[in-house]
Amino acid sequence: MKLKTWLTAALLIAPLGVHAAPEDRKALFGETHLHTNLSFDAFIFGNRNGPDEAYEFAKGKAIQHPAGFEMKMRVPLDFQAVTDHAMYLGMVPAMFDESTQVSNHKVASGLRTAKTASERRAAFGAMMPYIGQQVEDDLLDMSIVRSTWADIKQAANRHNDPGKFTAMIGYEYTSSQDTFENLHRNVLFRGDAPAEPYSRLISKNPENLWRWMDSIREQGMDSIAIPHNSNGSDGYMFDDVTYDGAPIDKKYSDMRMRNEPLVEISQVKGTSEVHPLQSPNDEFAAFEIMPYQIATWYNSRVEGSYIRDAYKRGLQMQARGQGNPYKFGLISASDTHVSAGAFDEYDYWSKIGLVDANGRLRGSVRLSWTQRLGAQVFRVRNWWTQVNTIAGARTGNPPKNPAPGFLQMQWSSWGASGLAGVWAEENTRGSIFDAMRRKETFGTSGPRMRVRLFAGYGLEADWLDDAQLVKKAYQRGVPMGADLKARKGQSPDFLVWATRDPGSAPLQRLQIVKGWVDSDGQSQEKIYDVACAGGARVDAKTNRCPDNNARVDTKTCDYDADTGAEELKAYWQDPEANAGENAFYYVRGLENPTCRWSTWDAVRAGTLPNPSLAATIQERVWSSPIWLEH
Amino acid sequence: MKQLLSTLLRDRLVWFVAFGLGLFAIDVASERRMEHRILIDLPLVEKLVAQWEGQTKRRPNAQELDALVEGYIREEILVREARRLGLEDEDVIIRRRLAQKVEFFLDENNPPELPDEAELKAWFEENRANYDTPAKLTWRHIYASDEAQARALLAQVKAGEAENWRALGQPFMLNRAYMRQDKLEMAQIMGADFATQMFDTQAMAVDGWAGPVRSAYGWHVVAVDRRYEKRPAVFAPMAEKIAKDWANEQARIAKLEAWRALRASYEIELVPVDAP
Repeated sequence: MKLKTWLTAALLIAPLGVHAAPEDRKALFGETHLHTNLSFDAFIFGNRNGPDEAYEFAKGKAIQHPAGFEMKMRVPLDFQAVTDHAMYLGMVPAMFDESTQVSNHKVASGLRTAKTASERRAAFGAMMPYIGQQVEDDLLDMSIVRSTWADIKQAANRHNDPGKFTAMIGYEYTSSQDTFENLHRNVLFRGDAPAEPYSRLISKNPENLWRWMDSIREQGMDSIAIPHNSNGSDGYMFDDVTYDGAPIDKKYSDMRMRNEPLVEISQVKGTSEVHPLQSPNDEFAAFEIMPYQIATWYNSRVEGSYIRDAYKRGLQMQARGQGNPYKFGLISASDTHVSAGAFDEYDYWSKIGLVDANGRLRGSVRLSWTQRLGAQVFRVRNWWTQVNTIAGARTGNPPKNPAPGFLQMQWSSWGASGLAGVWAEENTRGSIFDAMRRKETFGTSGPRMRVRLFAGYGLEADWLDDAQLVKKAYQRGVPMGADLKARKGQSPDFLVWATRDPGSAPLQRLQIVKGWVDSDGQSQEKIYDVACAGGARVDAKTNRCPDNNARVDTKTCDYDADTGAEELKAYWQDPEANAGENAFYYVRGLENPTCRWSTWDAVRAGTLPNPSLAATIQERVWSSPIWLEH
Repeated sequence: MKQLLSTLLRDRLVWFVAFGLGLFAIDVASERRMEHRILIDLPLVEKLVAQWEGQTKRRPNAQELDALVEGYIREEILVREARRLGLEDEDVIIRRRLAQKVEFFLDENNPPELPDEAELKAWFEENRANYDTPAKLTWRHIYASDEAQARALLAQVKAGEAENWRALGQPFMLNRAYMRQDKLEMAQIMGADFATQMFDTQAMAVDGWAGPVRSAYGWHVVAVDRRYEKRPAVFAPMAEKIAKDWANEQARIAKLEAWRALRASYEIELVPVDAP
């Protein structure tokens, strides 16, 4: 009797918001990867906006691009973390100040006098041996790093406004192998952070970063690290061995997952979901592929560099008793270096300030014959060669330019991406961080699409039209990012749901991407369309929606706004679920095609687009997977 | 030669000039000595001891007192040397610190006087746009996938099935009810057309369920539970905040004027670049 009274009381109190229920989780949009003038490279690229300006931008205010135009968000963000490079944090601004000791640094006078784009590139190149620790640096001043870091933390605390806008404390741990094989990750803190960030100058081995994170967690400072640009890691990000080449064991897998529950799937430097070479049957795989190792012209090895492949590797390792080091959820972020992310194709300012500030520098607008003949072209073309010469590092040579008349630049393969989504009870540091740890997150290629995914046993198709869908789904199923314990002889039910961005194109289709390890130990994958715009049915043989004939006019960038869906929903059961096979399932939702930023640049300049770049883009959203565990 | 010398020695003017030169030399020498002279007097020692006591909560012993004085001497000598080298003009950090000090003086020297109420009210009227509250709606909606379903749902709730409205219609990924939402926030979530319909075109009345209204996502049967008209701010309850804002504004203006006066007392000359 007494128990019943308590239960009734608890039920009455619950809806009052004493403890928010899972169905109250809302999609919050944010930025988890952003550089201000305190990052050595951003400062060299001309950025003079600090953390304060970055947070003002996130809240909807216009700020200045180094080239002198305004940058402003279409809709303000719900949360943001400023993540400057930890190594040499704040040092370059200090070198600019001639009164400081570090202004005597060998590279400082070059930094101070750099005016032209090529001088800026040379200045960047001169920094590289120090960043890469190929030379001793007795002028590295950790007191500058520490006081800059204190300023960054203070700015986050100043702008953090629980319930309205969350400013998280974070930084980038910019590690790599010897020739820029990218192993970068962003460290985000749940609350406060230690007095000094752990940087590559202490250790380039990410396992040591995780040890440090473990140790500060014991002191009550929880953090996660989010790797990015696995596409440029030359296969090292999702390798089948450790940093030192040792075999991966259960302990390594546990430590990695404890510290790295999420991975950035898409950002300005390309999308790392999948490479077309690995998934020839995925006709949407060739999306914003950035083929180079970061800051070089070397091609990045495909194996070990892409996320779908990593999920499959993870399942194989698990089957071999090594644990699964690649059971991470998904998120996107911009990685802008001008303190302001560019998320819209039609309002794109790329990433590196004065170096890629306009269509000509980005290779999207044809050069005039004078520009083409000018020595300028020659200098700009050899940007990495210059860095190479100064830094003594090998960076390779550009491939033959397929579109003479346009500059050939790494940043032609960059794009207006990406946006972070989290399912959080409230807009606070704690709530958002906990959602990240739960992996209840999604990433988009820029637009504000929302996506939900549930799996379980006994989820019903009827619920899709039931206003209580979410409540029921949480009660009987698990959300994105979670494990689903397999039941013998039963095939799990999936509920998939996505809505469009009111400010972007309508949706075209929803897909479920499945990967598993078969009885021979081979990894497999299959893609199922599960919902089609316009009420069309999925072809049972091909598992694809029919073409919805959505087209975009690349001369004007107009598209037909009436074709496509405002939202798409589906109930789905895996037609090929085999007993005993562990599997992952994630959602990919596609918009109708729209103009890519490079086409927008050309349309505005009144010229034809660069024929070697994709003219259109199908913006998309990716959910974190659900893992079926036996 | 000898004769010339004796003539000069007899000349009083020469004696006068020589005496003057001698005085000048003594003056220069003593000034240089003053420059290299550091006075340690009782008030200074008392100040040093007070600082020490502030930190340690006890008086220094003889040895510690020596160290304190020696420390002061060292600092004083180094500062004088720095000045002699003109470092205060060269070092950007010192220049900034000095400029910052003067900025503080500009702030402190202009504490705003309290205005009378009439003055404050007049200022408030001039700036009332900053204090007015925009129109807001507290509203709910039932989401439908098409217009026909929305009309059917509207008929259903109007016929008295409104109690379980949360269970009606299609699931909606965003909220089903919003409190005190202004037009800008609504436009960002539901699309600009929807917000215009709700706030302006149809100007939904607080009168049960209505609609359907089209959003970026589909069709909605809507109920405005409360309408908060754009509220002109009232002076009395905000007087304290307004007075604070006024004071901040006055301080800003005073500082600006002080700066302008300072700036006007300097003549800025642009040096033309020589043609090569």
